[in-house]
Amino acid sequence: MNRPQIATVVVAAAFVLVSWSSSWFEITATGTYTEGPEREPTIRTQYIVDNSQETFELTIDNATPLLLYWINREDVSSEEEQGESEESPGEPKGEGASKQSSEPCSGSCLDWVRSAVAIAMFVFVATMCAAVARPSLVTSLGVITVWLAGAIVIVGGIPLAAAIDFGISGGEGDSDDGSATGGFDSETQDSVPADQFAHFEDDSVYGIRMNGIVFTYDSVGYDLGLLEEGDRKAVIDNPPDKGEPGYESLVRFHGELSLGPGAILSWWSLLLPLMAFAFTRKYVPNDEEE
Amino acid sequence: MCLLLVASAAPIASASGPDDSTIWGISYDWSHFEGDVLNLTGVDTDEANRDIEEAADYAGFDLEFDQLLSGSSQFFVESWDEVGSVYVNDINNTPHEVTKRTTELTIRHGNLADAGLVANWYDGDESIEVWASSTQETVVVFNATYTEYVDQNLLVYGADLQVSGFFQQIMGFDFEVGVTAANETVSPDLSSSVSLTFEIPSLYSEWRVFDPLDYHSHLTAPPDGDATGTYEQEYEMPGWVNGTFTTVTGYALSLSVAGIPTEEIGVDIDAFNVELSDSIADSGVFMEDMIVMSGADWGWDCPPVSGTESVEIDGASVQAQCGAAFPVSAGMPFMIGISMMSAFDSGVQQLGDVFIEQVESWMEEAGLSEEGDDTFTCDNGEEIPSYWVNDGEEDCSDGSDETANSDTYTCDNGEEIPAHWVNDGEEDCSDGSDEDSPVVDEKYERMAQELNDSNLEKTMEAFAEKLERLVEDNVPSEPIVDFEDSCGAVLWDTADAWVVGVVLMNDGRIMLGPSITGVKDHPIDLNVEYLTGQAARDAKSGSVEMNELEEMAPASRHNVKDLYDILGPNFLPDLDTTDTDKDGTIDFFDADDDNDGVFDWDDSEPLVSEGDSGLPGPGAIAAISMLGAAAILISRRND
Repeated sequence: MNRPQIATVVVAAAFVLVSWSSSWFEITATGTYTEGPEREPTIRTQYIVDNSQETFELTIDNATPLLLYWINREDVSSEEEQGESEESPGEPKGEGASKQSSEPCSGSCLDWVRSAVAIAMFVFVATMCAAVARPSLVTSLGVITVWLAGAIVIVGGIPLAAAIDFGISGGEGDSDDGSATGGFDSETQDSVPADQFAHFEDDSVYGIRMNGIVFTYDSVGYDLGLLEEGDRKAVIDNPPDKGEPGYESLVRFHGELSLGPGAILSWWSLLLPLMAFAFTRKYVPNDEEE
Repeated sequence: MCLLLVASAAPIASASGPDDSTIWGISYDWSHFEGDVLNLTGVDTDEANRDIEEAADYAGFDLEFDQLLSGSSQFFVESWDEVGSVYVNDINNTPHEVTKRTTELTIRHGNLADAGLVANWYDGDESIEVWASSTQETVVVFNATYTEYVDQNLLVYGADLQVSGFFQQIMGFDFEVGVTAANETVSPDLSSSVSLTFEIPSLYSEWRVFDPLDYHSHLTAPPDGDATGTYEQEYEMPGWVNGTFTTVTGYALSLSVAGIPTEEIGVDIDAFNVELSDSIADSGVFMEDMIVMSGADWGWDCPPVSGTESVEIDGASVQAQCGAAFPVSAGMPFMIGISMMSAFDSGVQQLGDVFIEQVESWMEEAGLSEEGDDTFTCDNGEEIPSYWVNDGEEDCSDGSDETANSDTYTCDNGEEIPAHWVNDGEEDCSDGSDEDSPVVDEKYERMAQELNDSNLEKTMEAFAEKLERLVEDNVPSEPIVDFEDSCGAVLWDTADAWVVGVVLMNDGRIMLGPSITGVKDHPIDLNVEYLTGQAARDAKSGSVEMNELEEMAPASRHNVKDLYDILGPNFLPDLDTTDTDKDGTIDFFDADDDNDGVFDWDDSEPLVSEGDSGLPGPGAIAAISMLGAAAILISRRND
């Protein structure tokens, strides 16, 4: 290999190394209580997968009113429902056992994907060396194929593995049971189902942006858990207006969630122009030879 | 909010009194703390550290420990009478001709504290490694100017108060442990920090009386002419305090956990970071009832100081009465207390609510709450807390709260146990079938067993025994300073009721305080500086300029080199290794970075600027870009 060829391979290896050590997959969620708790407390969460670990970060700004809200609200689910929920821990136990046994990689799919990405990156550098040293259509196609395989793993494999490891694949999660009201029950340490709200309305929008999939969620309702037992019926029957008793239980929540590949995809994409440059140079001498 | 930010950014400074003001204060450099502890108690903290390390060495494991404290504290009280009279209205709007008596309280305190511990134990293949580091930063900046309105008989008609302050406490704790046993390793890392901030950008309050108060008379003449008598008086409804304030109450909590085996509990997260923060800005007005309690003990016995003493201030002798009294005007501490409680009512109240309610919630969950309306009525009519029911003890006198005897659970192996033992966190069936999940994972059980079979327990026993013997040798059998022989007194001028100083005595000698004719200084020289007169005035003018922790506790004086030697690079992961004067000690640990003979904390330009190009170093992305550009240029040149 001559100096430009060596330089091309070195730059490609550098890009691969940087992409390996950057973040692989990110889920970022921001939720703000725009009405209800004072001073619009904001919850920010971030889940990042990289080459060695999964990191979860939770930040709450203006936390005091939110903590007070969570602590002060009362669980207003009926006894029957509570009975059901008390029984429920036994059910998923069995499901969990069967689920665990049916999981394709025993809860460590991300480790499999890490190995796959490592192999893809190693093979990419190796085929790049071969393609630069022995330029031919076959080696070029080999490099492109490996790059494409790597891109597929990055775009599809990592999120899928993360989802499986979290046990949310296959739609068997229970997240649809009103868990996105923005409420949180400090007694059950769980999210508050929508049926604890009166006149509850929610709206969600999905969209695709450059950084991945964006999910926007808005909800509004009167949190019955903030009201005295005797006052709940009046709020259920008739939503109070501003200034009327019971209006203080109005909780409005706005949330945004985005999920998508991390910086790894940008760095991996930067290999494309490098490949184009390397393969273009390969064909010039061929033309001259002709 | 903008105004609040601007106000908070403004330097917190206070006025200074005239040259003939009465002033006294105390200054302390916390870097002398260990030396002072040694002088006072005979306990050498360095020796204690060595004892701990020696005991560990004797027991057969490695342990290194050190701590560091630095910073400074200053406290000044300056008082003066202002020239000229003014008119002030009492609550009934009756004007009174009065003069102003002003007292300024200035407090500056900032310190840095660090501690670190590294311990390594191993026995064959079993080992435990512990790395721990804790840090603490404290800053207190407080200015209070109290202007009292008095008539010619020193009767008090009210006062104005102006307060500004900033209090911050930051604590951090990092802990890493690695346990290897039974060919398994567990190595959790934990990092936490807590920050609390209370800021008073401005607080103004005004106190006006219904009837004038005579508490200054307690310092001008003894009760009933008896020079050993005591005044003690609580004024009923001495008026109202009203004022305006802006405050900021803030906190930040963070917790990072990594390296815990979360996958074994079904959570696929390796590192977990949580941060909670809030900054509660508040402003408003308040109006509260004033409270004043006053008193003075003229017969306070602090031998040999008693009665009237000659106190030396600025080389002159001042006659002062010795006794027990408030070191400032009696109205001042009460007015400060009432005003600050009102100002922080909102923010602190919210924080307190969260804290109290969360603790109550935890106690209820743990079944420890004595309160709560959940009660159980026994068959005989007695009432007991419901969480006493089926707790294994008969709490109703008829035993009707315990139904477990008839309610049993049959284990998988046929054993029978009380039903309330099921899922109580302990395996009561010999086959463990009463617990939904194994109490202890098999892996940890094996690790615990291996550690139990090792010499760990014997090592710890040997460590404790040896340490006890070494500590006994380190602590003197007789105290160097017997604190039972200590007493304190306040010194005041009976002519104008100004306190001119305070004195702390031990064994009949002055340990802290002004020079008093005929009274000797204590032979133990503490590093606490008592200042009075012009020396105090000079020191105060320097301290009022200090509003940042760095000014009160410069990082350059907080030399953590010894801790770094113990804790290693994890202690300072981003350590800048620049050595400006090339003396072999990097700037971070060097007290004189540029070797100009001036310590960094006193040096306005601690670094030599020559040779500092100011160009940023090449980063990873820049390096890659340069490589890419080089590749392209080289190839083009070859073309």
